[in-house]
Amino acid sequence: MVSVEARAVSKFFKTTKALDNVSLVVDDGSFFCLLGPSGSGKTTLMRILAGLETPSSGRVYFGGEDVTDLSPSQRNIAMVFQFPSIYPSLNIYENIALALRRETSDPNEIRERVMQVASLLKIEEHLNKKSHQIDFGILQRVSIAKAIVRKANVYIFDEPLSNLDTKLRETLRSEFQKIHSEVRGTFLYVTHDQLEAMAIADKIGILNNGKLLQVGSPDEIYSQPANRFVAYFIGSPTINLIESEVRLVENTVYASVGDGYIPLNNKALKLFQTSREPRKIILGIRPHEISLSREPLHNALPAEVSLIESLGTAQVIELRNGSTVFRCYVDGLSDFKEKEKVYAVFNIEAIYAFDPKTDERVF
Amino acid sequence: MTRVEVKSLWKSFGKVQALRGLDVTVESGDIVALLGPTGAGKTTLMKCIAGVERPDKGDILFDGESVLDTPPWERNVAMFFQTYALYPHMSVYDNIAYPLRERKMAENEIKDIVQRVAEKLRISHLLGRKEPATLSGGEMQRVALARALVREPRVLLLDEPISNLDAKLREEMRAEFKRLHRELKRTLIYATPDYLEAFAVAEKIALINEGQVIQYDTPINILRKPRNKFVATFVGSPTANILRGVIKLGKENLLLDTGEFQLTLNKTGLRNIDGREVEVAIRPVDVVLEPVSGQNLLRARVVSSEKLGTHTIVTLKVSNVEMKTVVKGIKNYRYGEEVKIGIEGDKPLLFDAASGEVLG
Repeated sequence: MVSVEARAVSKFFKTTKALDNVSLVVDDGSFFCLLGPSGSGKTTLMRILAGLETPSSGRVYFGGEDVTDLSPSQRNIAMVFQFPSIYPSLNIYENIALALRRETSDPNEIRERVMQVASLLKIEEHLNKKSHQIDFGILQRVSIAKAIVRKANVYIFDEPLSNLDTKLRETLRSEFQKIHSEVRGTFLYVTHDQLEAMAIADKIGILNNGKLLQVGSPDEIYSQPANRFVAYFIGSPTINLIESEVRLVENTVYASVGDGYIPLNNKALKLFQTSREPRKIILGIRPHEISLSREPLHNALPAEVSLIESLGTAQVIELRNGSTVFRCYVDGLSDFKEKEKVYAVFNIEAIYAFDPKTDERVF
Repeated sequence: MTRVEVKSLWKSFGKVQALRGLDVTVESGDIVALLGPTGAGKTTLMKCIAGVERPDKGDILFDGESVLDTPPWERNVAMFFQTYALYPHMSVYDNIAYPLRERKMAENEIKDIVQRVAEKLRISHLLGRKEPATLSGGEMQRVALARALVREPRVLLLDEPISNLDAKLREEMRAEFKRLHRELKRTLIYATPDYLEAFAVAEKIALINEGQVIQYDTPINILRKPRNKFVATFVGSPTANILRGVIKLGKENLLLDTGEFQLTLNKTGLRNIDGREVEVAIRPVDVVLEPVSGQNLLRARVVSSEKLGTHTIVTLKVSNVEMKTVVKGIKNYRYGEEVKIGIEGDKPLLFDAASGEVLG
């Protein structure tokens, strides 16, 4: 296993800029996720790191060595794709063993290593079957087994769970940390699903429009998003991003939400260091940091319930004040009704502010 | 608005029995989710309702009248799939207007309808766009939906309409369908393999497996009163932990012997339970990490902790049994770490080990 590094990598497809000056280090033996929406450049970046694509500019290093001009096999990459690639004429055991042909010809070692990964991926009972006899979810386990049975410099996973049913996806997702701990390799994992990235990775790199916006642990990118897009993209339900005007009244900062105002904590004084004039911000608050009451509590914002979305044991309640719509997350099942007038209490310690021009987080 | 009744529907494709006597009734103007794994029969059922497939046996009634002999174009049902195509050479407006022009409707009437539907779907600002290929996934989805809606169908069938969207967009679109249904006031059937989507969208859920309706109920009953083990293990995120063992009758409670460890279950009133082999569903929230006191204290090893922001899912191994629990916030537990857990045994659900049916 080795570290993987991209230095100032850009990529153009004709006139489209797919990657814009991306620099990134994946530590030796770590589990790194490239996360972003469709078209963000995450797949292009992965393909460049794997050697399936050459960058228009910039270099790629494995363990400090420049590998930009090397092929995937010269880089010793093991890959898992969205769709399983299994030879239909061979049984599952033979498919996995085939992946070892360049590493060893010792039948005992082959058997031992195949059985080891088969046990890790819980596919022992399928080893004698052929691909048409097993379902898609098991086949994807086989693809993973084929990759991790090898001793590769880097293991790359390209949205391996995205074609699985929700339930299979959640099951396999929870097994990835164990797989990584047992394999002890450098894992590079590409996904558009932020929950998946949060669930499995040590570190996440978030891309949008070809730019790498932030790299950090799941905790860091969730609680300290660098900018508006990261805040929006991470977390479920999605953070509220409210256009707001803040003003300083005596020594307290108030932020407008719809037609009302809420007070902010002292961090917000930062907004008025240079001028005491009211200014515009994007106010960010996660839905579970807002609570609802039927009583007009101190500093609560009046609002009307506009939609209730049930998540089984919890609810997402959409609220409206003036033309501003925001959502709050309620654990358990409340008896709030649509069109009801309620009071929303914002946890002021959990409020972010983003600059509406640069999208960067101010606090 | 139309009431849709499906009566004992059978359909096979060669050797594959897709529907096995499926029954379901959707009241006029309701929104119902067909929830089930891939291959459960959801799409076949929709195709039969739309008239694209003819069932082998059984009946389908719209407002009490059989439509089996009515061709699809006369049933006035719109079916919307997970893969959809817009005409790339037509503007957004022309794409939506297309079905109406086919009917030779007057242009000024078409304009009224297209604008009204576009407004409901919040795509009015996109009508002038010349190249639909430049729209985002969510926008294309809504344009395709608008094209299905301008025909004013009696019944709207949505077959995994957002399965192909990015996870983030999917979450946003969920609530949109609920809003849409309210504004359209139309009978709507929505198929999905994703239980959260079904919960978010529908007032009633038909849980389908192997060509049959396993349970047809409100979301909350599906969650709290599952009819059998299949239901209990299909809904919820994470789903309930299933422990297998033999029941011994205690004085005021039951003992579950899993062979590896014993659990006390606070449940009474079950007959013929002593010595019976059962499966018990333990909800993830009833598995408590590092409990101060309580019953069923055990030692476990951490298999994984999935930090999802608002909560963390921790997978544990007790002897050889895997269990999941949910804790609030972001918590770091390392793979292999040993922890103490407690299992709350209040009002557990018991299933017969052989049949999977709920006991009591």
